[in-house]
Amino acid sequence: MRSDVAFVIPVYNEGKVVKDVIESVREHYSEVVAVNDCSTDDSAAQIQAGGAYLVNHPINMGQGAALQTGIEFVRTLPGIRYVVTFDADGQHRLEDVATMLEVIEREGKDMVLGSRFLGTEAVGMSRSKRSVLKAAIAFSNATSGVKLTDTHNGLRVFTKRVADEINISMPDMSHASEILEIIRRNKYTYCEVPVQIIYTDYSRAKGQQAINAVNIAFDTLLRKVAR
Amino acid sequence: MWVQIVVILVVLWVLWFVARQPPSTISALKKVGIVALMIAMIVSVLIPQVTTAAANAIGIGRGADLLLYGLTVAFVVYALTQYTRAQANRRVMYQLGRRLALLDAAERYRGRLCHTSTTSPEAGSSEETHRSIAPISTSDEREGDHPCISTSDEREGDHP
Repeated sequence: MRSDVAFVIPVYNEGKVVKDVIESVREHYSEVVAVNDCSTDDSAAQIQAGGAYLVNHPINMGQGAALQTGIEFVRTLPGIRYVVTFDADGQHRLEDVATMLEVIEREGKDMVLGSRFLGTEAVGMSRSKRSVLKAAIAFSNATSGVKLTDTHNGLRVFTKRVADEINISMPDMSHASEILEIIRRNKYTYCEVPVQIIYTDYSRAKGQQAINAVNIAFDTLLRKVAR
Repeated sequence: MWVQIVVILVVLWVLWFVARQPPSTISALKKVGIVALMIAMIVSVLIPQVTTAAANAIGIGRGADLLLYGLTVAFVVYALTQYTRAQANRRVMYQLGRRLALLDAAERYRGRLCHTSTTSPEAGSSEETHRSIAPISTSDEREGDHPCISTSDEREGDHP
């Protein structure tokens, strides 16, 4: 049981699964922060039932904002050395977190990112999602200056120092691109670790709309011009 | 042909320049632009030859086309600045939402939290708890502690 690692789990309407996810995390890690992004279901109660710290957004602000809120809450927890961003829907595996923690401690990197495209085949990823994702990754690599094989992976591990400095402010799902820009701007050291994302029927039904990639691209390019 | 190229380059530069300006500057320029546009429209309606002459002088066929290009540029500039301003407002609103969320959480977990730089984990007083929440900053770069929420984009002079 580790208490020097804090999990940040953004939650929006995951009342059916979030308690199980939190409980499985808390078998190994005691500090779990779940940010309820103004869910309309019973997510908040489920989070508390699972035993995680509950932080409630008063309005729906998106996953990026939920991550930032969770990270700022973690800043007030004593004794934290690493922060893990983790999905609420059971797509992430704790074995991968253990691997990433081992890597970050051994290599001394600022951030370790999970990648679906480093060898292990993503379980159940549809063809269309894969091609949209590949295009998004190419775009991200071109605009952020950071070259990764998987730029939109929600499973990340970073140090307390990064948690203290990070500031995610772009709307909703653009946060993935913004984190890369932050890596480049603050010159963080990073590496990727192969992880496996489990696409169940439940999580697939809730995935991002492919067309949202257009919104993200627009926001990213506009930010370069109108900062 | 080269006139068109120069015009396009100037337009691009203007777009870039304008997009970087905070709203307080743009709104004054917008007013000037709108006034100029109104004058141009009146002139073109009463004395059509003027716009045609002006258009021909820089290689554009009709006065109406000149007005159209000017209007297009003005509209794009306006749309972009409105979007940027809306994003700045959203960011401020999210900061408020986050502060509420963190204050509420600090209250709920009073006594179990601490400030990152102090070492006392038993900080249970409300003052310690308040200080344990990161201060709000609306600019992307941290500027130090600001107890008040203020935007760096909008200044006092920007009242329509």
